Amino acid sequence: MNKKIQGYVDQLFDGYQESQQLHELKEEIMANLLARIEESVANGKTEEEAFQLAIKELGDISEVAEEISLNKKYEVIDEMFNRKPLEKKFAFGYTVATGILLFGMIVSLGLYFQKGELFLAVSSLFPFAVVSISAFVFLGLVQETSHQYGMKPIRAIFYTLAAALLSGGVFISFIAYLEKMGLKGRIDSLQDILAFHNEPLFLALAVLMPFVLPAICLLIFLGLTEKDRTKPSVFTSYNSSHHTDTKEMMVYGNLSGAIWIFSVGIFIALGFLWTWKISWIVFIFAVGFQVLLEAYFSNKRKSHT
Amino acid sequence: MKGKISSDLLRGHTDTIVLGILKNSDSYGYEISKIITEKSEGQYELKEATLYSSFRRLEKDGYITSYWGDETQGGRRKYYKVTSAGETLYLRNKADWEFTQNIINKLL
Repeated sequence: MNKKIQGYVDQLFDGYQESQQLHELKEEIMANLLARIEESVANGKTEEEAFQLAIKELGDISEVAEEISLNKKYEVIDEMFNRKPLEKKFAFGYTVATGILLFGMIVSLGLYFQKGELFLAVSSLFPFAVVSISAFVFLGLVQETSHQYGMKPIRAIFYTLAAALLSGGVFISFIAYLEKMGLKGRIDSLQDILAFHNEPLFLALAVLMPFVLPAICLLIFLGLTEKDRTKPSVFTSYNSSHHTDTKEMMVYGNLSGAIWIFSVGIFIALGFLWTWKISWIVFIFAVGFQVLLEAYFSNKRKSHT
Repeated sequence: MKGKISSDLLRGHTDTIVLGILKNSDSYGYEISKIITEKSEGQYELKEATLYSSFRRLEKDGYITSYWGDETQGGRRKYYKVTSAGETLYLRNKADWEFTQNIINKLL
């Protein structure tokens, strides 16, 4: 029955430009039609009779549809000339999430410098990071942007759960590793680490698995059942023209992939061969190269158009 | 013909009728249309589409606000809630109507 109602409502608004408002109106109409049908069925009508009755009661929705599509046009014009500022609740949410993350970082750095224990620092960062990452994921998905509709909160909660599981798992396994290694902030020499490296690493992986596996299953399920939330608007087509050169995009993707793979390689090599204290600087260079690459390609794209 | 005219007259008061129902408790489209049918003892059946237009008008002008219910099956319901501006409008429209009714009664 749900499918039938959905099909009917979709067909009612066929030809009107999709927008967040229309999307919500459709959802509202569907829920009301369903409530009406369920009641008629409970009163002894057949499903088909109930359905026919319900759509008769619905009447002519063209007035509302017309108004919404006009609104959509205004919205497009509005967006063309002045970008809407972020909704207050989102701005608040992002600020709080950033605050939590920063607070966690400060606490963890403070602990690290005071006690000199990496284990303690990571453990104290863990709850803050997981909370703020989850908040960012949730807010980012639910928020309506100029190109996409917001996701339904229930669905976004599942994504958030997956993200929390993943980030939590990585943290916990890292903490377990550090604990087992007994690393107190000093990573002295390659020999030391290699000497009793295997067991903690195995433990870390074993701890990681129960978090990562359900998270991945959840993500696969969500990914497979995902609906396209892209807005069909003037802007999407305008923006996508930037990316029409697929070959260029591929080169860009490959180059940036290479930058990061190389830098991870250099990071590990430098760390083992020399010292971990300095090797991370590689990533700063990687970010720099990435920015340069982006600048080069966006410049090139602009000169094309 | 008589039915048609009276329903046109009634339609002009849709917004006030909706506000009056929401004043008692938050509600959603189907429930509101059911209440209207019940209250008018089946003599007036508002088309749902008319309600949607009314909701949009009222919400745009800040007389009602909406929120999604947390139904898990068969789609979320959109609930409406009257604001204090809405309650004021309701009382004013009601007073206007009583005034008009009084005069029409005298004139017709």
